[in-house]
Amino acid sequence: MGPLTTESEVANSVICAGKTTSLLNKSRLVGSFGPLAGCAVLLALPACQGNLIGSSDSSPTVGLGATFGGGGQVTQNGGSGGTAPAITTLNCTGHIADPGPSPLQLLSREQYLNTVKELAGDVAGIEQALGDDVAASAFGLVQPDVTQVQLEHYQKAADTIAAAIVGNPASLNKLAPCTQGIAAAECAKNVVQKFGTLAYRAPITDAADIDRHVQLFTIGAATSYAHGIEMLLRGMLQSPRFLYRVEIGTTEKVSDTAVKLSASEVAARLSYTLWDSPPNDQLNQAVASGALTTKEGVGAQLAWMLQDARGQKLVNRFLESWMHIGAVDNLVKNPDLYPEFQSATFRTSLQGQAVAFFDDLLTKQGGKLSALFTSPTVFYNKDLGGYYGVTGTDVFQSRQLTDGTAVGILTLPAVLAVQAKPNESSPIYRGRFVREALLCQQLPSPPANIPAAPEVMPGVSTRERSAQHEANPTCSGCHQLLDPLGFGFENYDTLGRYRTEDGSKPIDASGNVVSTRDMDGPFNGVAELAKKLAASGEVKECVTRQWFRYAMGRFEQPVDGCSMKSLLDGFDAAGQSLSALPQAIVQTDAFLYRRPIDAQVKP
Amino acid sequence: MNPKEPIDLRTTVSRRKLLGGLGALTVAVSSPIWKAATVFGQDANAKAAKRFIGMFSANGTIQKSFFQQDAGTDLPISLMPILKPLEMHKDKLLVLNGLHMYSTVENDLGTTNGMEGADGVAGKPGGPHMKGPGAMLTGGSLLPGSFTGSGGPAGWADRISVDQYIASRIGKDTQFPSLEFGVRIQGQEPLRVISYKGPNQPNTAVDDPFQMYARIFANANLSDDQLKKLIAERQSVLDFLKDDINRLETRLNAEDKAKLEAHLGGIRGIEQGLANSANVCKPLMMPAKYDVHAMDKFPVASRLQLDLMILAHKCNMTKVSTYMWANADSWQYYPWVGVNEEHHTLSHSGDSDAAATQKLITINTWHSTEFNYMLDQFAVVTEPDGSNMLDNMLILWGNELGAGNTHTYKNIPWVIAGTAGGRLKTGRQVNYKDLPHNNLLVSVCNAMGFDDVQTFGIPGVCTGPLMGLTA
Repeated sequence: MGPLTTESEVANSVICAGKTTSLLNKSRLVGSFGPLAGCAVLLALPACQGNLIGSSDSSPTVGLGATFGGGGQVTQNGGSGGTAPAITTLNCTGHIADPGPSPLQLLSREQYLNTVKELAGDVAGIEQALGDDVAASAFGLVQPDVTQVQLEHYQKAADTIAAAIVGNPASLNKLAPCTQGIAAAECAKNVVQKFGTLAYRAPITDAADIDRHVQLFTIGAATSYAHGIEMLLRGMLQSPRFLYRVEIGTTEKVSDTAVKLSASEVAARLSYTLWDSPPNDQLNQAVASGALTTKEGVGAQLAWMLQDARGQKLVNRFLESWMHIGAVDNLVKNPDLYPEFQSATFRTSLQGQAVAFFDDLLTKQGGKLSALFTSPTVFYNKDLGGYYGVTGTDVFQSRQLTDGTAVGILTLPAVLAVQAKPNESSPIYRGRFVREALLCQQLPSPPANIPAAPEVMPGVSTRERSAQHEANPTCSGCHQLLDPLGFGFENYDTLGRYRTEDGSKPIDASGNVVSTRDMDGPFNGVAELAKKLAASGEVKECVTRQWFRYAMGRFEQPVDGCSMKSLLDGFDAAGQSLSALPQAIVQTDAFLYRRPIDAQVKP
Repeated sequence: MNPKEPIDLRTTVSRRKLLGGLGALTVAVSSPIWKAATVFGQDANAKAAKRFIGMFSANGTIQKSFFQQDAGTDLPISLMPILKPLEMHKDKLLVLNGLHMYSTVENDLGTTNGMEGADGVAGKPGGPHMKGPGAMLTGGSLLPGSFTGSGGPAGWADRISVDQYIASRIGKDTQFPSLEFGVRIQGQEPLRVISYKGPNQPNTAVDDPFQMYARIFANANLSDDQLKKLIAERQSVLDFLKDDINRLETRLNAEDKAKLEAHLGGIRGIEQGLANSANVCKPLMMPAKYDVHAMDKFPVASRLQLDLMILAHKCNMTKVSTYMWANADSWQYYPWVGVNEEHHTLSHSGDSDAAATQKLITINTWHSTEFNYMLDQFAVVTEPDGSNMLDNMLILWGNELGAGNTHTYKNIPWVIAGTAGGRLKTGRQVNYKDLPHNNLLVSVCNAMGFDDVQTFGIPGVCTGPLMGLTA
């Protein structure tokens, strides 16, 4: 395999705010700057010059924009001012397997609940014990350290689950059978090994480890056998081996930078990635039979796992997360202007509409990436009929809008409402959404000490008020990346409803795309923008990046060059069908292997 | 709570006062050990504890209605409209002007001359609203990350915050090392957090009063024997978990080990709570459960959380807390004071927009009213040593911005209430000339009794303690 990128980049100079600034001058640019590397103006502006992604090589997101397939990777230049940083080429030469980092991951709330369900069935009060869900970053990619408050919730949840199990004789007997004549401690030992293998998603073999579990049982057993089991369960359900996805790997080397995962670890990766659930019986049988020790063996599990109801929802869930559909929950819209939005059912409908669209796209429309941006199909129920001038019922019905007012996710009301302000549309948010979510470009932060924004005035359109961004040179550098893209969405108000006027002025939805690899140029209206996006290689590549982040729970990094190439090839080979993404990811180095643990490894 | 009813901690008693955790259970009520002790297990002869509270409200202020506009460095306090509700306590206040959150833009003071992104200087991660909360108590800045709302991308803050530093020094002998309160906190994570245990260790606030109540008054309904059993069993499980973590750590790489160390820190915090789990106070009367995240319940939650926080301090369940009115970049509406518009958009209004300015003053003044309610509560408490509780406190109130319409990190509206046990000379507005707020954080540490602290936050930004604060 040859180099994936060929583009070389040189320093540019531009005039900005009255002075010449060397492009990339001392800015520590990493990340998805590749696609923007030709955009000299962006970087040169003080207002726009920024630490795009990271400020150090060791930052967890340093590879955020590991560019791929034409962009070029901009690396840190060590902070020595005045020179442009070198552009390293991402390549896959020789393909030495390197899975990249695989940090310890806490189970997500959903994974936790599914795991409990698999182990103990439905437990009353578990969600309450677990406390509020904490809003995560995009795909939960940045995991902070666990807090005491969280641990208190895990404690309460463990108590709740343990009490539910031992409080029900049938479930106690199922989980911890103990017949007359067998020492209680022996029974407990069996529980540790049997239940532990499931709860920890790994066999427990170390005798001392088993003993310390049994000791915890013994403390409670002073009261009763059931209470001993309760104590044991309380402990096991708060163990980091339960709460985190622990991966140690094996000693079987694939390369200097990669070892094979144990079969149990592979099973857990498969099940949590595809289902957000722990391995089930069938997967555990595959562990036992040795079916998960080869790349082919792992790939062979995909068919049945994706047939499973949880597997069928996988790509749908990815799309919801990618499009920030969940953000509708906490969305604020001006109650005087948008009273209908204040009802919870309206918000639920907006989300349901998005889900219905994704389902339809994946199952009935072929699931091609291009359809994501061009599909004329819309869904409505009784809450949302007004969007399309029809009357809906309790269930979602579909409708084809062939007049160009419906183009896939770009006109999906949930997306447009999230990317808007409480009282008006927002070309800025929508432009940023296209840049960040669809093109994987990372924009610099807005500067401090900006001039006051123009005031909201009746009779003046949102677009007109954005004019200052063009007129003021401290704004235009960044905003030329955002506003002209976002203007394309101006036919849609803050709730994502189609409109032809704003502030009693006719809508001007003409826009312009700059600083992209293959879709620069003017367009008029969102339908024309959609065509550009649907045909863009940069967008296609971005989808695979987003999918990688979602599936792996981390950002792609330069070392993932070969994994990303393999993923993109798999996606292309399947005709860019979104449903092919799961199969493509499990065949990558990143998924199949891990790096050897650097510390001493106990046997 | 009745705000004006005096409380004397020397005479208030409660059955639970003697529990004092597992060890204390074996001590008979009549034991002479307890004779000299007060309700809260403190020695009546010992000096009352100092306490720290960090407060946050969002979207900047209206500078002209917050700061006295007179020249001079040291002004006798004369409250401007936004702070007017604090009139009764003005002698216990310090208003600090001219302190900037340089740490949001600089690594070495003066390198950017306050112009982020100036020639040769890279900006730091996060938009202005996002940077503020992470810097306010840390004197640091945000790490890179993937949070994008309100201008990203950014991660969490890069270092420990002053409240957690103080908690590490004085928080070891209370049920909670610290407590983090919030009111309707929404949005992307870095907007929601002012308290940090360390880099990438957000100490997230609990914005549900019912959840906070359950935390603080857990097990309040148990009998002594039940509590004793619970504590013993919990401790067994915690011991098991500590052992578990130690075993696992030997098998992981350094990065994952660090993650488990933080986990272990949380476990130790729970242990500390167990060891000090006497519920010395009568639980607060809570209203019927309601939707705590409803926009219009903001004032209800504000008061409940204040009451819980006040109680937690009065009962010595903790000596350190933080409190956030909404998140940074708040989109909260304030219809109960006649402002049915969202705060953030309003805060973008130009200075010439008199109507919007008045609305922002109204919003900020409401926060002062709530702040005043808290001061009222502390001011009426007499400590075991006869001193006044408010006098022993250092309550620091800040904001993520100086003003919303310019997104400036300069002239953050800082208020200090309390004298930290007589250390601070209050009743003044002090005008500094462009100093980093890191210096304030140093002074806070010093006033709390940690004179060994000479720098806080990013070392290159901090230039030492603030002059002229102490009595």
